[in-house]
Amino acid sequence: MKQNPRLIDVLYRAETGPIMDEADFERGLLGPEIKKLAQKYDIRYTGEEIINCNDDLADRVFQAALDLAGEVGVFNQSTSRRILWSREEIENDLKSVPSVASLGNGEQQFLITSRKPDDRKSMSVLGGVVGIPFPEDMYLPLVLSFLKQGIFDSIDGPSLETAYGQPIKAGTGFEVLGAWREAELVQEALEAADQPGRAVSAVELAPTALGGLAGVTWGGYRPFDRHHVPMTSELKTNNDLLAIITHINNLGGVIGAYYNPIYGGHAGGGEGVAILAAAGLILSYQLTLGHTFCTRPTHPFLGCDTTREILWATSLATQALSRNSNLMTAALAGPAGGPGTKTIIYENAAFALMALSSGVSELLASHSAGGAVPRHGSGLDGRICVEIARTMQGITREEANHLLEKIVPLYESDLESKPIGKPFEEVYDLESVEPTAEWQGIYDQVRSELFELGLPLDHFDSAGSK
Amino acid sequence: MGHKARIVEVLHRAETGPIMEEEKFERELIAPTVKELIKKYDIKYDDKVVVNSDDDMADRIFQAGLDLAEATGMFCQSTSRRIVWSREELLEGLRHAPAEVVMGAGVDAVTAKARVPDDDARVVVAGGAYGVPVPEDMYVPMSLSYLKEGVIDVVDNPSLESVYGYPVKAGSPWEVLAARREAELALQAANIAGRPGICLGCVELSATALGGLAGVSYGGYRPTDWLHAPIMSELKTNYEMLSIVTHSIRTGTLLEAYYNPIYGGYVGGGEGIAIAVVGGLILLNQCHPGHTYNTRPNHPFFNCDTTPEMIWAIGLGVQGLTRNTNLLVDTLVGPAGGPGTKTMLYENAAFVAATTVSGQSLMTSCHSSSGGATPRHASGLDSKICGEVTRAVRGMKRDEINEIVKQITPKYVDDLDKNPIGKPFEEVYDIDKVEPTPEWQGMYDEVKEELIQLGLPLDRLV
Repeated sequence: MKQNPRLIDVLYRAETGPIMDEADFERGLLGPEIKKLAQKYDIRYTGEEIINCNDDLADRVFQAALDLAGEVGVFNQSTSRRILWSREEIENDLKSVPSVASLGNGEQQFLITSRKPDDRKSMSVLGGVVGIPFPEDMYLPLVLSFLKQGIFDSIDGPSLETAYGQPIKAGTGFEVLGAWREAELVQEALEAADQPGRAVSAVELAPTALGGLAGVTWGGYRPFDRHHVPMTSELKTNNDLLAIITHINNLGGVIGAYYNPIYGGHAGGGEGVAILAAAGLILSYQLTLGHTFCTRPTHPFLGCDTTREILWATSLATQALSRNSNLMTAALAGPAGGPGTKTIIYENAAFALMALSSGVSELLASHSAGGAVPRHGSGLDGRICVEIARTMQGITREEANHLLEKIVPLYESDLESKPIGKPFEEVYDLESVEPTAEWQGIYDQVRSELFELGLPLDHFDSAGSK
Repeated sequence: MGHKARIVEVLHRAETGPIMEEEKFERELIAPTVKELIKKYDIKYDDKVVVNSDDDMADRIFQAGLDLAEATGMFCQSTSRRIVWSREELLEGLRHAPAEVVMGAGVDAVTAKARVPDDDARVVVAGGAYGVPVPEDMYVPMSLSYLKEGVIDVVDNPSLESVYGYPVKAGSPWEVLAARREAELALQAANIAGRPGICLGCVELSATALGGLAGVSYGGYRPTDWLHAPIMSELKTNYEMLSIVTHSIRTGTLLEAYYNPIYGGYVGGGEGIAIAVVGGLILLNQCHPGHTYNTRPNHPFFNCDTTPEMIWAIGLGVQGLTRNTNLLVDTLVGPAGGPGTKTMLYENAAFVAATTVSGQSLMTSCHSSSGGATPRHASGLDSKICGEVTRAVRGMKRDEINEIVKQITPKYVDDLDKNPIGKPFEEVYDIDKVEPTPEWQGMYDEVKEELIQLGLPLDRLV
């Protein structure tokens, strides 16, 4: 049999698992289970650390996540059934999780590898705006603003607001057209940057399976690109997403699964987010048979993942997984700040230090301005993340935590003021695809500040790095 | 606007055209319009004629088809809107339709070209089980039974009954899996037959857009294969089909659009079928802009398209189009008879002789045994007879073929209501050797000889 038997098993369980109301799944099952596990494993957020430095706590979170995954499974919204695996099956499958993935082609091919906390191994960095809406005529310069820096391992584009001037309606021929238009534009950008083999993320515009299937085909996105498959909050999938999973498995593509628990929702606070994020990524592997597993817990009011408590929860979840499995975890920086603000650079720097020291295999940068404000993203937004990743490999959690104690106070009081900054066209010259003098000046100023705080950014040499 | 660039306009009109209830579209718009056009253009079925050779009638049918296309447009079920076009737009669309297309790759590629009635040019022969349901373990031998026949240029395969032993549910991930499994098996069969580049009809299993999109991708069906996008009877499309069309256009995959009007339904009898074929294929060119355009009208009780009246109607519709446009027209023969019956061989011979001299560019065969609805009832010989007749009759005149077909139809018409579905594949073929049984081969040879005696030059070499 050519097909992965586990995929068929997933599809089978998605149609035969126990039936439950969606509301009951979250309220009656998930919420109470997380509370119970936080107590059982004594997982408590004390506010003493921003990055967790306690190995025992990380291991307890891993056990709690295994319990949660085995207890609740994934809810299939299309069949109202739970897709269940026993804890034994989950542990057994985790043993064969891929610990390395190859993305890109030719000169731009690179590897993502499994890492451990405090690891000296390199962390990959993806640059892009990860689906922030952009108009068609701004797609090319925006993507080029990342590509032309030559420092990112892979690229993630924006979502198109229209395709050939037409609004894109989900589940229609326009979604097919939109997916294609996106693939067409990103390849135009790769050609313009002379980086044809650079891995890009597919498909940003796939509200149903149509976009996900139509974009990855002859002449469109390629198997060596990264293929996104989300799980809906909390722990939910549907037949559209399962169809995309099947398609990418069929063509042998690299799956970048992601799951973003909501802080303060059914997960509760930081303790619950940590357990849920770890369980969600374990279940993402069970569900997608994928390669990298990204999380980006979301603050419901601030739209970011850079508060002290969420940073702590994310560090704890990724450490739990990286200490106890070979799962290649990824984390998406979601700053509240946007282009043209100091806030975003501080936030992204803090997030990068957390990810690097916690054993994350890949950092995605960034969901600027919370990721939801049209045109609020720029190439310079993610640069600080690369500079940190390349100059501070091997930094320990204690060292990183010490730095965050200095960095987080620089931005946390701004988070509530929605510091979304300026749209792309006001921080970049669209013709030359260069940051404005003002935006570059702000960046350089913050970089100097960070250097003064102890980050050895002067060692960063981007020339020929990618 | 170029032929395929029109898709954006199609999608736009599908969302902005006049709203109408689906039932009213068929009952109050299509049916009365077809009736009116039959009168206006004086279209009459003469049961003494099976193959029309009246050029004036063919031209009138073309005008009637254009009128129909303009009056009704295509109905989009997803939006309850009509996708409508002015006559000038329809004519513009026809002017720029491809008149030639390469199908397949490398040495296995063939070229379909626009033809006219009585044309001597070769017709592309497509053969296969055309979606007849088969179990997974029978897929490759059944496909090979067609691939082995040198007369077949393009293969269109059966449908899988299951995927890895599981049922295939429409609109679910199983459809995605099945589409891929189908492609995998179809390519495997083509490779075994030593025809890796042969053009393959696809995706048989695409009840929704998921199958159509998933099957044509890396490692699956190729842009040189032949993606199918039908419309529903009568003159109805939806977002699933428009998504497949969009996918085909953007990937540069060959597209076959098809429309199968129902005899005795909203379009009425033979006269209405002929008009609907023309109007439908003109609208396909406009709304599903692809490369080849197929029709396979269906008799609601016999599930076939081989009654004399239907052969007349289809031939007339094809002539209306091939005399007046460069559309690459093809027809699918759907016999009531099945493998192991003489009925099917007669039906197939009569149908393809009539449609080939009517100017079709491709001959597609066949929907064996009650129109392709009987699991496992299909075999390579079913299409071989079609290929042989198609090759033999090119260049012959319609009136000449009319006389021959009139001698063939009496050999099977009385059997049509007897459900002559014949035998399943495993009873007419040795599955290991992929060879017809002596009984089935003997029957084939006997009928072939009869047809030669009736005047079909099946023994011609050039």
